[in-house]
Amino acid sequence: MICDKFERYEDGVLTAREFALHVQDCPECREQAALDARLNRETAALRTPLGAEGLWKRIETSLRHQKEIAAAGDGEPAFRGLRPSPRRWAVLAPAGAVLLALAVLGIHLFRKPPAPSVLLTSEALARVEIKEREYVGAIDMLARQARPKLAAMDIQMMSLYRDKLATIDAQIDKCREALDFNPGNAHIRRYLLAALQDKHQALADVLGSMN
Amino acid sequence: MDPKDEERMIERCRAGDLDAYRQVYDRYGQPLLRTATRLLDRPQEAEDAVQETFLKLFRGIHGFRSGARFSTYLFQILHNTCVDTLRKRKPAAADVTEMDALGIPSSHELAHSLAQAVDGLPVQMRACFVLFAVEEFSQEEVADILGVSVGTIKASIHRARKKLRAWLGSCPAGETS
Repeated sequence: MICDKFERYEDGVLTAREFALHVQDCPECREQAALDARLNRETAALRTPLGAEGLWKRIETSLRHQKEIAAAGDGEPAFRGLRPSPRRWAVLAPAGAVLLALAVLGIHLFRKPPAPSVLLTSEALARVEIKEREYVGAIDMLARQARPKLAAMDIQMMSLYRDKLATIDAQIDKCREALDFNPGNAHIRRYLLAALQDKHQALADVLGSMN
Repeated sequence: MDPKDEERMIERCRAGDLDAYRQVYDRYGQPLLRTATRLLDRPQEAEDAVQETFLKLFRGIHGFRSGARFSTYLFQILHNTCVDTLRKRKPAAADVTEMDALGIPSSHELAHSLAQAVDGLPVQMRACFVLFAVEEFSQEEVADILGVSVGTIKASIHRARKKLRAWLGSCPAGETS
């Protein structure tokens, strides 16, 4: 899509009136508007009720059970079950303090190094992002050097490399989009690194093929 | 529902009145089930998530602040429950992102109906679209439910609509079910 008026209308930059006038002369935006109307119609169909036979019975049974557990806790009504009486506090508070002290001691004695996580810590993430920017900068420089070489290739080789680079760029964009939502995900970072390495290799091939 | 009626219903829920929970179910049961079905894509797990939501509501209703929107609170519980469920089934949950990153057509691209196409969107984008476009929450309410900024919600909805329009554009009218 080349015309950006539909997106500007969606973003509220264009008024409905301005967009209606534009649509008369723009088949692309007319098509997008028609698809949007179709999307609205089909979305409405997703609101149809779903069959949930017996669901309330299951919920009711589990709530009743929960209520009984709470009530059995101290023989008081369900929702006061978790609140001990002042007399019980006298017994529970020192017992709680002892348990807490034991728990703290236990944590110190038996603490294991943290398990490796797929999520990067913020410090590691910052370091990764700095290195990633440097790498991207170097690849961009390589791309600039490769541009005249690419233009000098025969048409078949040129379209082959261009397609390859476009596919890799699309993959890089998808990774970046995913990282917008989840910047600390090491899996996606790995995919991004793999895509950047592919681009690096493809550009090196372009430069090397002419030597 | 009238705000005063809703306040009374919440009070009765706090008192442990199961009829009040039935009222919550009658009012919100279908939207909750629809949202869970779209987020989890498995009807049985969706029903379990709704049941778990009611249990968590029962246990946590005393923490609900008067003045806050009850529906937002309820959907927050549901969303967290669904995310927990997705986390427990790691390999399947990772599929969409990994397939996208590898350039493999996702289930979104292979969908035969809008529901399937929505199910194929990345989880966060799907949650935004379902809550905003299907359940008709405002963008601010969706931001409250998902715990992210309104800007992120706007961008997600925008991207989801764009993807779904592209999907609709690739299948002629009348071919979707």
